[in-house]
Amino acid sequence: MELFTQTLANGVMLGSIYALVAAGLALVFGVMDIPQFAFGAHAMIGGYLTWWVGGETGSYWLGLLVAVAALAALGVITHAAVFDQLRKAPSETLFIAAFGLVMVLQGAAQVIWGPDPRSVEEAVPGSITIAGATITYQRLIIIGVAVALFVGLHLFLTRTLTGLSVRAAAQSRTGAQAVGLRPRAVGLLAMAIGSALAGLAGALLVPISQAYPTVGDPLAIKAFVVIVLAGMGSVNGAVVGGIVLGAVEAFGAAYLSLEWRDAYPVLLLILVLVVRPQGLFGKEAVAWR
Amino acid sequence: MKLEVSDLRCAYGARPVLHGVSIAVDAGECVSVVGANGVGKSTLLNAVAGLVPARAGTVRLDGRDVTARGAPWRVRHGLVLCPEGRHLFPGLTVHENLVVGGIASGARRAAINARVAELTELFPVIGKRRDQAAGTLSGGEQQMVAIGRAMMGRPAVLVLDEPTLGLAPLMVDAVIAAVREIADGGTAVVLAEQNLHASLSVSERGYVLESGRVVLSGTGAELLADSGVVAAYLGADT
Repeated sequence: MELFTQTLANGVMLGSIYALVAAGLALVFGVMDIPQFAFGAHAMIGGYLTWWVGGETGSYWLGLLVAVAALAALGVITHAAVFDQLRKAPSETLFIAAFGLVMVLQGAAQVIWGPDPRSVEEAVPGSITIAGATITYQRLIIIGVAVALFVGLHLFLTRTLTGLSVRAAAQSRTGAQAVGLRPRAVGLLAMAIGSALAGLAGALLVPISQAYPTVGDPLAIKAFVVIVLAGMGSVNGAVVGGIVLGAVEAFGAAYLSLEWRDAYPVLLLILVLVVRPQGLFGKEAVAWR
Repeated sequence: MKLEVSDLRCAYGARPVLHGVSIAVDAGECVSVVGANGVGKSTLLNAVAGLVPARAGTVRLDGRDVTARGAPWRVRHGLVLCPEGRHLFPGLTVHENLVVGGIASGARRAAINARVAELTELFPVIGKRRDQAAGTLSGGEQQMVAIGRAMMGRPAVLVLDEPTLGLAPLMVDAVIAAVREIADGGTAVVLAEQNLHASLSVSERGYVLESGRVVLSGTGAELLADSGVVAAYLGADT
């Protein structure tokens, strides 16, 4: 029972991080069909900024806020400088551009902060024992912040006029243009939100995983698996898919074999695609929800 | 004139589609643009709405040259397109689709909701299917919602592209009646249709388009009475 509870907590924590990055990826893909794999590198930058600002000011939370704000700005800048310039290009060009962006950001991180991992102390040291499992406060913070963010994102997308615009643009670009929405402005907003979510994931994760140039690579791959698993463009599906993926990875590592840890999500993906090619939450006619 | 299109020329790449089309529509008037498939009706309407750039010519709204303005600007200033194929937001509810239609006008949520309630009288389906995903409605119901969505910002000019395409005869009648009611309310309506009888019977005037040119114009009754129009440009089955 103790192992089960511990594994469940680890899985949900890990899944929350995947879900944060995947929700942003799904949002951007839904609105603009851009496979923004650089969100893993954005998470890496978020981790470094948390380490840097937190170290300078002594406040992890200030570092986290700066990371989120800076990544939202980075998302806007990279979109304007790269993806908006390629808006008429074929999808494979966008794919290559996203990978190019990963290399640029990793190279920049290496030049600025060096190759050595940077450690950040936990925001709230210590742990709590629940059903025999020891869970650090940092892991509870990750789960709590992620849940709050998902609720906030859901309310934003369903209750605000701006959120409705984003969902509308994701479902029909022609329809959005016909009613006078500005698809490029909506796309920019989606990219800012997605990038900020990735930055938040990096900031939450850095006390556990440290910051180094390639720390975001597994996140990008897992987030991609999540959005395919959930159904491309489904934000709600990405959140649920992220948690499921984290749990599968954690339980597979705990109960089957640790060596196969990174293979479980991919095996799950293959299984889902064979049974339900449109993903768990994807619909052929309705790409959103 | 509410809307004046003068000598409009459009092309897709090197392929010209419109060769100097001129049409005009006044407030409260319904004007049909008819012609066979592929003659340039949708291109004309999309150019009027600002979705296809003009190579030459002008589009004037209330006398103001809007040719260089984009679609969002034209919508804010009262020129709205209801596109062919409807292009609703399928996963959004009927109510949400209409709300999105009101966003560009800059209205607040309360005013948008009040407008939805007004439109429910014209299109009862909006009330009946309020919380149903738009993608699950029948074709005719979707068309009503699409026209309602276009009417959210109280447009001065409503541009309708093939609103009866693929609909059952009863729904065609309902859509055409709604179009007439919108025009009677003071809106200038441009109606592009392959369905000659449905569109000309509800229109004050009409333009017959062939190969990107206006080849004939007149009142709806004149064009309907002209058997040459049917035979030469629209096919005997229309």
